[in-house]
Amino acid sequence: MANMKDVKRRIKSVESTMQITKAMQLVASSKMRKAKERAEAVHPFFEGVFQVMADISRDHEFTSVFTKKKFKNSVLLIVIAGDRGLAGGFNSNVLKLAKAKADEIAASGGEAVIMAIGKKAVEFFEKRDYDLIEGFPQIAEGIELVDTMMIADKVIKRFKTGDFDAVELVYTTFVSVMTQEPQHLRILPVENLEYLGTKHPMTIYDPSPDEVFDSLIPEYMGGMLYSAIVDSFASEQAARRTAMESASDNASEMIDKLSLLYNRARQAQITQEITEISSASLNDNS
Amino acid sequence: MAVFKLRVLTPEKIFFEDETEQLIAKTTSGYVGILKGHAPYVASIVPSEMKIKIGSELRSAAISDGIVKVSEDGAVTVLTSAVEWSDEIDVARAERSKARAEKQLKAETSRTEFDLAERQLKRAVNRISVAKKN
Repeated sequence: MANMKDVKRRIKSVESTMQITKAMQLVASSKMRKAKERAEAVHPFFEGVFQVMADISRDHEFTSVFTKKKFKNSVLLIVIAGDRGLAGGFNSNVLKLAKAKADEIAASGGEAVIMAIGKKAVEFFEKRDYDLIEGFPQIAEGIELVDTMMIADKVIKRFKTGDFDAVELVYTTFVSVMTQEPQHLRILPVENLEYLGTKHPMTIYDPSPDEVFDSLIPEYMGGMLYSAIVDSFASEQAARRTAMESASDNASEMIDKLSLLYNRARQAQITQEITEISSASLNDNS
Repeated sequence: MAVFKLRVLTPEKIFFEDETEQLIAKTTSGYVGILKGHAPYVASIVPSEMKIKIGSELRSAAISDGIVKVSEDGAVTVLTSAVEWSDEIDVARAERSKARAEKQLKAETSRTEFDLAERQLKRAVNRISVAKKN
């Protein structure tokens, strides 16, 4: 028979764990809501930037270092993961994809350098044998555009000097509250712009289409990073909310089982006591 | 005067969306004023003061790097990473960011870091000067 004291102690411990998971679930769902709003606010800006970039590449014969298609095959992977764990498979899913992409590049004779955003991503690549050029832990929550613009400036400078000839992004995108998907996206060189929209050959570019295009690149890159980080943060919170919800459910199930066990043990003890008392009184009477 | 549709967008929010009579912005080739009926036009904006006519007054804002676009339908869009109304600029913060950039410039750093600090300094100085002018 289970020891009543032990069972009682376990119930208490599960209850306190459940309080924590419940609290984390609530915090995550409120953070998720805010992050989702920020992620959606980026859309109008992007449509504008894309439109201008598409107009230029469709209407003009132009050359830019940012659309060149020659490849030495050295790629910068910008990997965005979370700062904390306890979010189900959130971190491991995105890091697994990043690792697969890095290995794929290496296997095809290329060279992959990595820039990690989020503490978990930094730790992951520090521990392993990858070329981590820079890590930015603890920036996702409360990220501002100036932060991402700074990172974007650095990346663009290094892209121009030829440190790498492609920039790719690995992050998690928010599909719905229940689903978040790891994503892989090429951001430089800019591709597939020619096919969007109709021609506007009358537009005047000041000073020239090439220069306008190049001056847009920092905004494009900074905005892209900002949106990916906010998107990833929303996904992290959604994943944590789901994980904590199921943890709370499991805890309450466990408490039910333990309570049953406890009640059985208590009943058994009472029965035993009654048997003892009655048999003792029987002995006294005889 | 005739009005046209103007939108000023940043990745963080829609900064301005309304009809206006006039927009003044500084492009790589100098200040341009945009009125209704402007030809389709795209230009890069440099860190500077931007003015939007609201009512009978020109309201001033500090803008960082960006782009201004006049579409064929006459709507005007300004895309930028940062823009603030001049009366909402946090001068103390801009001063701090200026001091930080200056320190960076003095430290003997790499070419890349020097360029970054220089751009940061330009933005900070622009915000301070726009804030003080108004």
